[in-house]
Amino acid sequence: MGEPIRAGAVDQDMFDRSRRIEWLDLDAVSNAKILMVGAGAIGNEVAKDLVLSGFKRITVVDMDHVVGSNLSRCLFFSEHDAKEKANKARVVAKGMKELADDLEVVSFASRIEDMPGSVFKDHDIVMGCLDNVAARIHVGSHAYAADRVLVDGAMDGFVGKVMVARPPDGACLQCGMNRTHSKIASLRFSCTGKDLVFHEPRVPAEITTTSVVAAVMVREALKVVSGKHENLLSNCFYYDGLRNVSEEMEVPRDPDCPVHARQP
Amino acid sequence: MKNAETGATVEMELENENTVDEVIESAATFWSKDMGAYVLRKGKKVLRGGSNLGESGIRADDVLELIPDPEGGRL
Repeated sequence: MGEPIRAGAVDQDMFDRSRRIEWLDLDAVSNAKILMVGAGAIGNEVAKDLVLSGFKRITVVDMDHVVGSNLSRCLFFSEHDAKEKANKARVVAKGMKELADDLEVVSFASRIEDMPGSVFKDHDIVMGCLDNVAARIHVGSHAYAADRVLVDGAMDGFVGKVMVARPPDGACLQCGMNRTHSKIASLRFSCTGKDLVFHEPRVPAEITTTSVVAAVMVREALKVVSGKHENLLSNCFYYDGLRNVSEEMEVPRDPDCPVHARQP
Repeated sequence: MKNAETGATVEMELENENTVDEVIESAATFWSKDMGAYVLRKGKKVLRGGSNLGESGIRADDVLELIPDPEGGRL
């Protein structure tokens, strides 16, 4: 005989309602290794949605510390964290652990560019929660080279975007970039004569767009690990919260983009 | 050419040899856009920056749309 059933057990299981979604493979979700790059506004929302969706093995990378202006969009940050200049990745990891005690979460107070390249291969999916083109180029090219799906989110005010880059055949992040991206990427860096300084942009941001972008990102990750590939975003989800419009856009693979041009 | 943020439109005289990058920069300058990333699309398709309009299959009277490509999310 199997396990005896218990009255009311369905309401004790945290994931009972998720199990009722037939295509959702919760075993695959809990076994998938997620690399979350960036633990700011989108990162906080993605972290919350990942844990509540059943992901159990998560690595968080962010070199930055919490500041007061983050608090309007970041569930896991507090005034105390801002005062202490606590590292974002550490605070988010701690907050995730409070949501699910059995979570295996590791945090790195580091730039992704300073992490070993093998970090991409060591995970199944990369969640890009970044704030600048230069970091996206780094993460996008490394995830693609490591043959890992990248789910990248971005926003500006009430406009949000999610792109899913699926190697080896799909478009990568750089396939959707042009000269305006190169210009702003180069503007982020300036030479002081002694050092190279990185200027981080402060863009308009608010929590409702952040939430929409993060939710779409985690939903795509759920589809990836559950093998629901036919329903994945084929390219790019574009959202305009001011006009209440969202649509899927096609980003064609560019054989001449820096990532694909290097492929044999 | 349509400005996705304002709905404004403007007619552009273009040649097949003009690149998508050139069109984006001209439109962004015309509308005094903030420094930032923009993409050009025709219908649901994002046009490749380095390609020219002939290669991209753009014809006279096509409506192209300039849309901002958001960058933020961490700060």
